Amino acid sequence: MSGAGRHQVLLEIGTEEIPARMVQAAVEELGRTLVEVLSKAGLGSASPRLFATPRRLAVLLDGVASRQADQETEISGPPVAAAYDAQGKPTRAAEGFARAQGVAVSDLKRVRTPKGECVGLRRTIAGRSAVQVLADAIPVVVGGLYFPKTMRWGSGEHRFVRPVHSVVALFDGEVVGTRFAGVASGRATFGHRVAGRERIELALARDYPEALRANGVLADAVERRAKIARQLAAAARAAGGAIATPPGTTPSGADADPELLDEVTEMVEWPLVITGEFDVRFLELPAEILLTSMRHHQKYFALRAPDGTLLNRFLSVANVAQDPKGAIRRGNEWVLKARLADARFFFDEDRKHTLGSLGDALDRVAFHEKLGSYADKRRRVETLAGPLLQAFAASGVRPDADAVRVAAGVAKNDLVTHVVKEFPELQGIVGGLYARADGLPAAVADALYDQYLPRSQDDALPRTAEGAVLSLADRLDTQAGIFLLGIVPTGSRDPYGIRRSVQGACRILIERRVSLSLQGICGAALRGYSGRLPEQAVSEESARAALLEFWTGRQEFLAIEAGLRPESVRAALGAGPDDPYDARRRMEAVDAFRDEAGFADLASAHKRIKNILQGQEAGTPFETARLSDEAERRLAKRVDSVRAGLEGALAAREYARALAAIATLREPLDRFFTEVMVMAEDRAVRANRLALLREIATLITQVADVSLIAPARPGKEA
Amino acid sequence: MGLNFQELILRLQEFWAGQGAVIQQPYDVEVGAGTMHPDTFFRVLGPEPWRTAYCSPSRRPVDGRYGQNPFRLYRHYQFQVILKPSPPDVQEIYLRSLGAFGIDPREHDIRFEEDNWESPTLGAAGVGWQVMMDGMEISQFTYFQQAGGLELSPIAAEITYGSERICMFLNGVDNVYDLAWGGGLTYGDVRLEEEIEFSRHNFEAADVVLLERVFQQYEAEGHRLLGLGIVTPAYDCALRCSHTFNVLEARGAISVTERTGYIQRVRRLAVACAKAYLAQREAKGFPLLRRAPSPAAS
Repeated sequence: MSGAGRHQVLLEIGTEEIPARMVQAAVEELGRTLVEVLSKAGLGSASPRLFATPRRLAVLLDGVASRQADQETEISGPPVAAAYDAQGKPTRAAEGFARAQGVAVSDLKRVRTPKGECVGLRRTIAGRSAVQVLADAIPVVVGGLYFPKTMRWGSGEHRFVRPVHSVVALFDGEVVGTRFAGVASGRATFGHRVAGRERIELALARDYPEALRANGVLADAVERRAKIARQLAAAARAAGGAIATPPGTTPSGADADPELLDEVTEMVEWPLVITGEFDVRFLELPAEILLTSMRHHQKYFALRAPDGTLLNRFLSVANVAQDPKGAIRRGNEWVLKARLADARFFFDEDRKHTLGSLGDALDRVAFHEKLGSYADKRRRVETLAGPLLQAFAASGVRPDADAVRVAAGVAKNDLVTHVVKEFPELQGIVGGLYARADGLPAAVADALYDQYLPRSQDDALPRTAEGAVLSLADRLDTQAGIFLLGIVPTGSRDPYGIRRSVQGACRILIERRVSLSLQGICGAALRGYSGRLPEQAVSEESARAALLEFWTGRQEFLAIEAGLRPESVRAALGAGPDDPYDARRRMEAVDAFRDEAGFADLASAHKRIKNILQGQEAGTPFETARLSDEAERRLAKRVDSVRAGLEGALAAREYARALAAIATLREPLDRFFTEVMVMAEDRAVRANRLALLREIATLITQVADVSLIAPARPGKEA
Repeated sequence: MGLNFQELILRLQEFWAGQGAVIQQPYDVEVGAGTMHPDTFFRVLGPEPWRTAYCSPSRRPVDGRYGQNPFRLYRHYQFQVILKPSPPDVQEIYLRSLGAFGIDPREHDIRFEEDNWESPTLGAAGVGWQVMMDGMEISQFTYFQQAGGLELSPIAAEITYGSERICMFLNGVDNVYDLAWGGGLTYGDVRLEEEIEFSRHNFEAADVVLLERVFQQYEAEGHRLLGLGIVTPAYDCALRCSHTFNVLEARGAISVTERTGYIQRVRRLAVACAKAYLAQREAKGFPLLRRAPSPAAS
């Protein structure tokens, strides 16, 4: 019997500091699996309250039943006919069964089974108490938690994310006796390292949150995050500014820096936001460097004034209740001063050279162990920019070709600057800043600054066409190299971020409306490595096939993410994925047009044509003179006019208009199929009809393989 | 006013001596970190218990800044502690050690932030934290999981104090060279010239051909000695290879493709030393198992 009970269960694993990035996922899994265990055991299906700090993962469950219901089971033995002899005396079979079950033969009853009437008995299996079920389940559940990295400690016998110090397991007020990682369960937890008691005895499971609160631990991460956000907002207001969004991150809602907020939430048990100050002279450094310097190692929130410029203030989140002597504020200010002095030193050192003069060092910087240095990459990217510039120009986007060439020549030079070595996430940005300071044209500086955009799926694209070319060339080159090593990214394994790289490139092409042949450009990217890759794992040809297939998958993913229906996407890709921008336009047209009256019939007709053509050798070209039937003459005439109309529509990429023109084939096609026998006796007639259908299929698939959207109903076959 | 540099090191030695640690001295072959000292690298292997603490001058040629950077040094002084097996209250002992140089954890924000450690040249890896005080990293705290390519059991805890930083912080000094060393002298008085000269040597003057030859010869010598069952001297060869490689790298003499090869060669030698050391201890019946040093007097 399942159903809600009235009892509470608490499980807390007390540990040394768990990495911030792992805390949330772990406690969610702990809550989920505990609920699963209880509901599978028929002990209720409570929703868990989760608690997590760096030093504890805890779940409090309400509505748990105290024990499982007893279960009646029937055990059947041999058939009655075999169990008793003619005199009605038990046979050896019956005796054997009774012995095996530990009962007397006289206790056997007759039971009905699907195999007929048998001897058997009824047994009552007593339900187990929740405490027993939990005692068995806890070590398995906790031991099964997933962590990206685990460790051993002390004697080395146990393994967990960090050493385990306590296990609190309570059923209301009763200790659930169990063990994990060599630690016996009990009712004692511990408070904040400084602000709480070392040992807190819990009388009842439900006392947990308040007992911890009284001991300097705000165990509910959601509450802790909200408290930090409130304190941050108040401190920012008091300082006359707002939280600044750092480069390379995305604000969400009211949170200017949600990633950092999440991170600091998991690093404290009790938060205190501290406002610190630094010397205004540091504001001479580029804002990007200041922001990153504050955030990167220090995990400080930077503040900006209403006019967007940075303030010489920062906010730090400490793991304390108060800072009465100001020691923590002074300490943080001292540390930041040291960091900013360091950053200024790096910046000044970097500025002793021009960006352009740093290129010589790139042959000693590894792009990839097996793909050579950044000097090699520079050579390839410079070459690959050529065909990309052509494609952009042909699409009516006209990047400044000289600026692209200059930018490609110095794009990776910032990798050897002190600032980028210190703050790798500023790569590209630093190149852009230095290029501008060197007096290089704005088109070059902006292209460098934006070369890694978009960094994530929602990130902005390069602002300029020059930046777009540079980003694409860099991405395609990396993709080509990785595929030549025979590495095909999968959902779970993508160490070089190829998925993101392809999606970013695809977005650039689509949003910039640049038309190109992937076959061609990927081929060019792969040729960049020709004869220079000692550890090449696959041929250029198969790397290209794999890369193109991967691109198709990403195009499909992006389009569906953008809200297009999967069949529309596949139909357009089915007609040719080689030009991602063009394919997207066709997907949109199909998605818009497929709800029009008659589309389903057109799709079915196309499917029918494809079925007929399947396995037929492409024969002679179609000849009007050979047509005999009225219906086929009409169809051929319509094909001629559709072809004429399509040319203009396709050239203008007006695929909705193209589909409308194609749709006019539906009616003559229907008639053709009704009145004309495609597979005529006369071989010449038959070949000519097949040629006509082939021509129609070719027309349709210039836009999309609409047969893929045909409704699944049985159709007449020719 | 906080402690001067030498007082800080003396207090740390005293504290850890009180925890039953063998107070060692710096190793007299160049090392890049206290971990490379044989009293860490070898002693964390195998079942024998071990506690030690020592100051370890650590040479990092690429970090040289000609004495011009207020925080970065070619050679800095780590204070290294090894506790094997790691005691259950190792974090608390560490926090108490801060009191040895006048830090009251109740007045500061002390945090353990994830920071794992790996040394490809030593075939060593650990899991742990950087310890942050009021936003400054003051220590590295690592549970060794592997050394010399061998999985460890029991597990040693390694604590490494950044002596210069801590001392600068305690004294509110912004430039390491202004730090009071002791004897009325500053850190700069004692060490500045050395920093400038070694920066020049490592970045400009080191004889690449000589270093490449030295690397090969020490590598060959290390393997030869191991063949004779002579382990610790072979490990000295590995340390010399490692340092030579570091200088070559600072000198810009190692290409991308060569780099991995060099690291693997040092690693091969270090791993072979670790195996040989372990076999040697095993043959002697792991003597320290019978003479376990009494842990923590406190």
